[in-house]
Amino acid sequence: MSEQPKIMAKVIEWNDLKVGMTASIPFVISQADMDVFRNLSGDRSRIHHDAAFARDNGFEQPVVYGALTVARLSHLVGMHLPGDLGLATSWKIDFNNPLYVDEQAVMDAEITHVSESTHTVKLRFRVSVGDKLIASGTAGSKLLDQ
Amino acid sequence: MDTATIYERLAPIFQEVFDDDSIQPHPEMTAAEVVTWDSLSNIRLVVAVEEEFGIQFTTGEVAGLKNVSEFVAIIQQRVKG
Repeated sequence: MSEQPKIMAKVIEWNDLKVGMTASIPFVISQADMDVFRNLSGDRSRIHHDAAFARDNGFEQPVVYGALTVARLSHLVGMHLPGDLGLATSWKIDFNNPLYVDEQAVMDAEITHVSESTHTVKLRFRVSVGDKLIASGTAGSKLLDQ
Repeated sequence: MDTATIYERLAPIFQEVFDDDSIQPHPEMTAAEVVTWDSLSNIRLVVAVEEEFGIQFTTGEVAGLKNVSEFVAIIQQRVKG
């Protein structure tokens, strides 16, 4: 990931979480991010770094690792919604279209369910580049005590 | 809503949450007989059931459940209410 500004995670108390609350984070995956993740994961498959191979298979250029999109989901739930007090209970993601290096993407999320009995919220999220849907899914987070 | 319909709607939820396509919830079923039924999967189960039936449980209700039949009884009560 590109270096992020050193900001504190948002603290949202349980009683303040409501269905319909939203968060949105713009992001760009750089070639440096790709290189870091390639070394970290050990995934050297050609679709992520070989431009000719990508073109031969119908893609404009090498495809960003899906896990780097998932990393932005971690940022969204950990820093914004529900933020500092959340503990992930489930993440589900579908990859709809390829994301390319240096594309300006945005992840939008909305709380769709608040479970009083488990102190858990469910989010629906979408990642898009303009009108192109990159990924979509759901994320559950249990709110911990302050 | 009759209990048969509730069990029918619970089956795919159990299969998804416990990652087992063969699992079929039955009245005497307890967490002890499902290997993947742990504290976090229990949260996923409760949330999924709340979403499926459009209901809310209380913390006390879900904490004190002895088996699936008690769970179904509360669902039936909530759906009626």
